[in-house]
Amino acid sequence: MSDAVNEQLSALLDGELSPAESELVLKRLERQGDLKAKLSRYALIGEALRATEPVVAANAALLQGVASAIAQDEALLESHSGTQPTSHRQPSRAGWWRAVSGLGIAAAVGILAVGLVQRGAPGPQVVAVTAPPVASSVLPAAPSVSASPVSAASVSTLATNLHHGEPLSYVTPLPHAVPQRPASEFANYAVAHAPYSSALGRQSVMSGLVAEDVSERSVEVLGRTGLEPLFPTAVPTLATGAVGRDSHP
Amino acid sequence: MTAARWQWWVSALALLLPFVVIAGVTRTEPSSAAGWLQQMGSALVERTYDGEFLHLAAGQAERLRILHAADVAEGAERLISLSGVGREIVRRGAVVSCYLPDQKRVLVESPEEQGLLLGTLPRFDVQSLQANYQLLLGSRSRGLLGRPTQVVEVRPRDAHRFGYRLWLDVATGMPVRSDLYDQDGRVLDQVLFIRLDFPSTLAAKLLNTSIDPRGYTVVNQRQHLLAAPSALPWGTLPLPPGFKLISATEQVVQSGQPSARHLVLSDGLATVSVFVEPITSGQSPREGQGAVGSAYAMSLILGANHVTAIGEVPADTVRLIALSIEAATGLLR
Repeated sequence: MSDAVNEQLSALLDGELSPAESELVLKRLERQGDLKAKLSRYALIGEALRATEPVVAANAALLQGVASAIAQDEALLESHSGTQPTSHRQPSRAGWWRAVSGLGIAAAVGILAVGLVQRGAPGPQVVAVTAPPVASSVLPAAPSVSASPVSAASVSTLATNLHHGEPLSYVTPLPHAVPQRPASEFANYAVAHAPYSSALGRQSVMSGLVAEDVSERSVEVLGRTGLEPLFPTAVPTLATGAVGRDSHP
Repeated sequence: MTAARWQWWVSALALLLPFVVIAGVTRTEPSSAAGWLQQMGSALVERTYDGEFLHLAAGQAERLRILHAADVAEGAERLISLSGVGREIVRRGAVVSCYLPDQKRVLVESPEEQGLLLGTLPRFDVQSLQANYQLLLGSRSRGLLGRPTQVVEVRPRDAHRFGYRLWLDVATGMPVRSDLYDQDGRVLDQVLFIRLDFPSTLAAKLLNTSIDPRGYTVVNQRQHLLAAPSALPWGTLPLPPGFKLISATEQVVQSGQPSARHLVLSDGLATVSVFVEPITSGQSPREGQGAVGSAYAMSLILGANHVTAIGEVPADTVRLIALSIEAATGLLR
């Protein structure tokens, strides 16, 4: 992604673009051109974390890229050390994007370390939990479940050094080794949980993967409860006309 | 699609609900983080607004539009996906309709009892929230969308839960950005407003779906309340610190399978669902863990039961909660 587009996205989020400019950036986002490549970098790390095969070891280029990003982030973190997350400094446009593009990788690697340590032999484990890093603006990556134990020690060391502090630790008993399952196996549960969870609700509402399962489950519920389709009477609409009130601040 | 699912918006990025329940109308500028959160809760319910935001999670970006009319007595909202196939959700009071044009379906929930929605949703207050989270007042800045913003952080007190950072519009209390972050500070889920207007009125056509549903299949969903959590005979579960049982229902989760018992546990902000299903003949459920969006999930086989826990908490917390079900007397079959 070029610096110009990075800055445009940053400006968009700062509300600094005209409506026409915003539309151009958003259309570009929806086309997922350069941004897709950017996001895929995060997604790739997520995939590595979820994989049951040692893709990290197999993908030397990724590992090299991660190491390189860490080196850059080290410098960034040094310059930000001591900053409290809540005293988030508003950087310049370019600085905002640097934070996005740099710390995201570092944060992901921190997770990688935890994931790698979590995955391991059955029995009690000590899970390294590093202190939260300084405030960062990152494109959210997929949560890490775990990954193969390849390079666990080295990455864990990197992550610990990254935050320049002793990791916290706690012990979690495991009944046995837990295999990894694809997200699709949990889709129905995610949907049923969504009413209680705002973050997940957002996703399951619009996610194609989950919504497919929503419909399957719904059909089943319909059959079991003997309910007939209610449309159109059950799909309420407002009468024509204006509603609302003056709610300007 | 359930009525409560729509509640995510009303509940303000996972934070509104605790404060809607207890919040009064606050017009003066708050002096504390809790005060700002209360004002946010009020703003999301009491203001009429029309905004667009980006939702970034799991390496994907989606653009959505939210419309909320404050003075429709029963409540009127519409959420539109501006990316992809154009799904929409429309709420009128407790009736929620999710339009899926790609599947030619409308998912509707219209609870028989109006009280069901509130009855099954967690009830929070600032005190229970603060037992597990620190509420921190952050900096004031020029902020987003050209508006001064106040940063508020809800920081977990231990590693059993995730945290939130919120950027609130100083003038209105509305959230213009929300980050869900894990114990390493990594952002798992992010909402960024790119436009937020407060019109004096919203035309009715803006609050109705633009999708022509002729030919669509309409599907209703029901959920059955088992009992009040305090009346459940399952004993004390060895849950992670701060988590309590807040709801128990029975519902069909897996197509073609018997109803599952659905327990909901909360620490005052984060929620985890646990589903207990009897394993039927010919069924071979599998154990394992995974991730869906920003949530972690884990399935276990306990006796003749398939137990699945899922929630926006660290993987270890999900695991501990799933394991705790083994101690629930009479719950497992």
